[in-house]
Amino acid sequence: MTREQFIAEISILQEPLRRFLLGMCHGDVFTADDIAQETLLKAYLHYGTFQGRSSFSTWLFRIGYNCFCNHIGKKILDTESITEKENLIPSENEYDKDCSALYAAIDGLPASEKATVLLFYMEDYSTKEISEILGMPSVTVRSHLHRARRHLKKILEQYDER
Amino acid sequence: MMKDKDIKQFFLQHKPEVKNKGPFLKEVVRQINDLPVPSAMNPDRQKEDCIRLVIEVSRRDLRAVRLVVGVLVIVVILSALTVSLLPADFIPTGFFQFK
Repeated sequence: MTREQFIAEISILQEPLRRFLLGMCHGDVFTADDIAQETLLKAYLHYGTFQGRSSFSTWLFRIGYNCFCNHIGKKILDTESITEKENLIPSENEYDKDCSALYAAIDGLPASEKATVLLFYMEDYSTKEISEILGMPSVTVRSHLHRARRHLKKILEQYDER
Repeated sequence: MMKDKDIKQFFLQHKPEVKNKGPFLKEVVRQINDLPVPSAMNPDRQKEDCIRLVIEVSRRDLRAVRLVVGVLVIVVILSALTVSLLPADFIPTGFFQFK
């Protein structure tokens, strides 16, 4: 892949990547775009490590997720939800009104489950691809999905009742 | 009862809209242009790598061919020696006794 081909690829993939990171960052556009930019530059600099065993988009999303984890702090992510960190909660004007329901729905989920749900329902990735992106076994991805589904069903039923 | 299909539809309806696609990409491309081209993306480097690979393979093959030829030469020499020495075994013992 040449530099021009790489730019052509990222021009297509920037939208899903930024959308995913936006979901992960709870609608904080600035943080999400910072992480997306870091992801794309890291992918460019370390393109030599891409072995083609997975698709380019899977590889890019994996870098994106790792950048996100580095940004937030993986230890915190594994034990508590992002919303528990005060500094990650964006101000009212940073929320997109249409998306506030989505952010509210995934609010209480831990980061790995949130990533699983966003990749599965929003970006249409298969459980195998998600396992490659998040670096966890497919079984774990499926159990994350199962748990997240239960949580989402409860939240969305309340949302429908309103 | 909420189904999986409903969850998917909810996500698709409420997915966040990504804004400033053009300026964002422009900024990334600007930063990429400031960075050196990684060796994996350099077409000249790719060609050099291919040539190096071909040379390496041909050298390895040449070594293997040389080894086989060497072994064959040794086998031929040994068999020639054996064949030439074999008749000597059948020569009568008194043949070389002139006295």
